[in-house]
Amino acid sequence: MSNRKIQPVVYVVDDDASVRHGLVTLLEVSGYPVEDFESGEALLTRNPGGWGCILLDVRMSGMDGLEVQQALIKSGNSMPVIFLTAFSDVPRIVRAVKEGAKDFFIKPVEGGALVNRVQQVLESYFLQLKSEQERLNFTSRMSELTEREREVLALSVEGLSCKDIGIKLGVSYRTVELHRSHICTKAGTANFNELFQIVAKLGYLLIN
Amino acid sequence: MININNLLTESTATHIASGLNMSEGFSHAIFEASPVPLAINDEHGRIVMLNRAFIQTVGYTLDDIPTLSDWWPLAYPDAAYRQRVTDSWQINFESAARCESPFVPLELNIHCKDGRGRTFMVSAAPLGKGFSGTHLVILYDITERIQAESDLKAMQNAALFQATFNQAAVGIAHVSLGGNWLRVNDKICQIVGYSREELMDLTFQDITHADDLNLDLANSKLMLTGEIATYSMEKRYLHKLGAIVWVRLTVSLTKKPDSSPDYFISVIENITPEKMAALELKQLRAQADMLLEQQAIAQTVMALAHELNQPLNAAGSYSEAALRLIKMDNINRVKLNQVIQLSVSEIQRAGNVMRNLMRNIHQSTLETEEFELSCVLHDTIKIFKAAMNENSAIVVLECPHSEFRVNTRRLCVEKVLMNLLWNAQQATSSNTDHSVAPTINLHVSHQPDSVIITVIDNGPEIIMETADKLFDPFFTTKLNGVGMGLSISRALIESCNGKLWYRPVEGKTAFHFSIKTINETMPISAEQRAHNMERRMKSNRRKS
Repeated sequence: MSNRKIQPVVYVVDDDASVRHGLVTLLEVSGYPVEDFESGEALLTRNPGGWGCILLDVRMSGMDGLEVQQALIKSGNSMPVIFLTAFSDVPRIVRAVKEGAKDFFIKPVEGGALVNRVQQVLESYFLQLKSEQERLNFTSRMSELTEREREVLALSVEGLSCKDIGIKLGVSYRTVELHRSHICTKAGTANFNELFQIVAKLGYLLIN
Repeated sequence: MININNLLTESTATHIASGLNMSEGFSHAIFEASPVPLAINDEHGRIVMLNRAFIQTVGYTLDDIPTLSDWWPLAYPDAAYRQRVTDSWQINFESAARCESPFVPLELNIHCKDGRGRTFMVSAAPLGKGFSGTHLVILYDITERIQAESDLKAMQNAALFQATFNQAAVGIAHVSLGGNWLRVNDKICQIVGYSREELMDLTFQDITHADDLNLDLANSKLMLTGEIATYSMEKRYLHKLGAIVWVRLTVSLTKKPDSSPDYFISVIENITPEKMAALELKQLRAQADMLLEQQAIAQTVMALAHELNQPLNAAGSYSEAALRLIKMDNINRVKLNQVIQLSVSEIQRAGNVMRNLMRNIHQSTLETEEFELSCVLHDTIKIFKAAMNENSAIVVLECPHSEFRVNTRRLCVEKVLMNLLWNAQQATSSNTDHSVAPTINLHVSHQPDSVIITVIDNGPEIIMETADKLFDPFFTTKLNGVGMGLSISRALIESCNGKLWYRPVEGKTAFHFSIKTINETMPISAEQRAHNMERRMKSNRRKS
């Protein structure tokens, strides 16, 4: 990931100061920038974005961890959450995991395992963010296509040749070739093959 | 009619007979032909005539009974009865004579010549002017009528008995001394599920639950030896289909005319439903108790786990961070030192959680106080028995001295003793040998500076393997226990500077715990006590 210049941030939420400080120390020593919060409310106020993950304690005074997760989902924040919990809370956590939590650790947590998991979660989130970004870029580039270029693209995806598209649209196949060259320029690809590969990768639907 | 004056002067039998013939041949014919036995006696106690009916029915002839003196012993061989008859006869005779009223008939049992007894309504009528002279004795045979009456009565009684026997709401049985069913009613058949015929081939021993048989047999033995008149017990029968039937059995003994035992009368009431209800209630109560106990433990453990998890979690994080710092190429010693310090302080925090917990446990049992141990023992036993209702085992307290002053946490001692009693109770009730009454012995003995209380039960012995684990938390042999009792008890007693241990006494389960005594008031004599008291008062006076 050569183009990764930004650093991922780990957000630690626990109402017990020593637990929080212990986690912060471990994560910092492991090379992550860390922000810590003594309550779920404080985290929601900060509303972290970008590349990172959240370590969230389940049992806290005020909002508990599960409520914080719900609030994040509601506000459209997709940052991955790892729960830290007591053994007796496991049944509740199962539901939280189904709703998108990445993992949960039962306290007392094994520090090494936690750091490894944080690393995995961050890497997979990086890929997710990257593909989202690519899709976003591609979508915005594709929005620059003209009405005619869109028609040509749609018929090309259906597998029609330049000649057939020309007959269908009542223009010469030369004109179709010109449109297709414009489409590739706008999409930033060398040819139509490359364009189709990107579409397949991003799952972008060309049907308007 | 006969001229009585003539008869009075002429007194031979022939003379009278001829006189009768002379005066009234007709009367003689009637006398002879009467189907009712008749006799004529004269004033001298001679029997002068007997008619044919008399001779046929009673059997005696004039040759057998020429006089009344001959008649009486033959007719009434039993001296006492004879006396009564002669007396009544005399009284009725005299009264009739005196008042000139009719003779009041007597019902008499007469021993006839053929050896049978017959019952007659016997009356008398004068043949002259009064009873003092010759008189006619009429013996009206009512034997058949009386027999018929008594037969009817017997039949009625039998019918009544049969109805009572068969329609009773409880089981009734006549049981031979050997245990065979002689007569049973339908209800018993219904209770035990056997038909009448099947029951007749069985003894009561066959269908009695093995655990109840000894007591039943012991009771019936006591009754046979006359030590008890009846007995009543709750016992179990085995139903034909194998189920256990609880009954309340009441037994009495019938005796023969010579007062030797004849057979048992057993009244059997089915109490299975109430027994089941009581059992269910007991189980429910035990379950509820266990749930409460488990809940309390769960809450305690959860709270404890949470309290310990936090510092452990932090210490774990710091330790892992330290490990990572060490692996770095250029070790940041300052940072490493700081992280390890933090880890150490978190471990100390976890230790404090434990220490606080222990302190809380001890504090909850209050301050130490000086008290008389035997009072606490008596009180605790009383509370224990009350809590057990009537199900308590027999608790025997052996306390050689009444004075055991101790200075410790009274509640701790009570709690531990209660726990041990409770364990002992459960052990005795799990005993399968029902011939032994569940018993808990409490023995108090003194050592130079402590007193040892020993709780012994006669329940099943503890296997040595399990004995080692007895004091482990959550160890239990009970089906419905959680195994905290002994470990808590030991912690409590140790907080009072005492000890709790297990050592069997004469093969029986025995738990011992010691408590320090106050040296000054070791078991002491009355003189010494008085002396001590005097000394204390003097010193008080000096202080004031």
